[in-house]
Amino acid sequence: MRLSAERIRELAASRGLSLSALLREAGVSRTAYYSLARRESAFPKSVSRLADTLGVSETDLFESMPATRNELDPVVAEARRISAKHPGIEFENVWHTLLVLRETPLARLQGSLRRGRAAPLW
Amino acid sequence: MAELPLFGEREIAFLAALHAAKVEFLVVGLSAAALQGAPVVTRDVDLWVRDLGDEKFHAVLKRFGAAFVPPVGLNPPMIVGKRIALFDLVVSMQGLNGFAAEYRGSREIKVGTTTVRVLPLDRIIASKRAVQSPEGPRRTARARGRPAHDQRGPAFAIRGEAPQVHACEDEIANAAGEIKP
Repeated sequence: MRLSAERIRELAASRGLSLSALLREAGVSRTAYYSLARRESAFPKSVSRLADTLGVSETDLFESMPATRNELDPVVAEARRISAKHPGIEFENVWHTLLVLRETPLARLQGSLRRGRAAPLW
Repeated sequence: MAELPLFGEREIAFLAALHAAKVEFLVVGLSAAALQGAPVVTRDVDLWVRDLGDEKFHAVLKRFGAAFVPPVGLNPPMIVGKRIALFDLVVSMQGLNGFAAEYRGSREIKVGTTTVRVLPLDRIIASKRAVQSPEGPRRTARARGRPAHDQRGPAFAIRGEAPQVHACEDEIANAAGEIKP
């Protein structure tokens, strides 16, 4: 399973982060990120070998590795429901709101300030 | 190395000290919206203090090595100090009632080890809408001594869709089980 650079950028953008900001916040170096992104599989070789030997996908070896984005995050389904009911609202924004609501108020404020300070002056 | 949080122990300690000293204040603006889960970005934490002449308020400022700068001419009152650099004073909120009425309708939110009263989302939206009205920016700019174009705030400069999200806030809130009417 290969990392999706596009998906990572998309997720970062939905949280108001550039790729650089995401890497900085996650404590992942650019070298490490691009090294991972270039790999054919983000799984360690040993996991791939076990899966190959068993004739299953790497994802089958984990306790819960959902197959679809909906299952990956049940919040997505709720965000879809809300944005369908309110067509003027962007799905990504509702999804982001729901994710933010899972954090503590302090973490929400810290994230908001971090992104605000990282953004160019308006 | 991970960066220190922008809003950390010293900021929480400042809010806790205000709370302990029974200084009546509200967290308003986008930081209040962020605390309640709105996907907004902000650069500072706006405080609306009932009485800027309150000695208890000044005593807390002093304890944090900060000072109150009274308004001079067109310059609004300010609080200055390295340890409270993230905080900003708001002297009035456009489109809203007076402090006492808004305080009565405010929500209490736990921030770290302390609790603060914050302006509810619907009142923040009302205030932002008033600021966005044709007359709003000019009036608020005069009140706060900043250029009018700064007054729209980051939510509307960077995330223009934010008010629409708020429009279904109850639904989002119910889904997340966090914000209750």
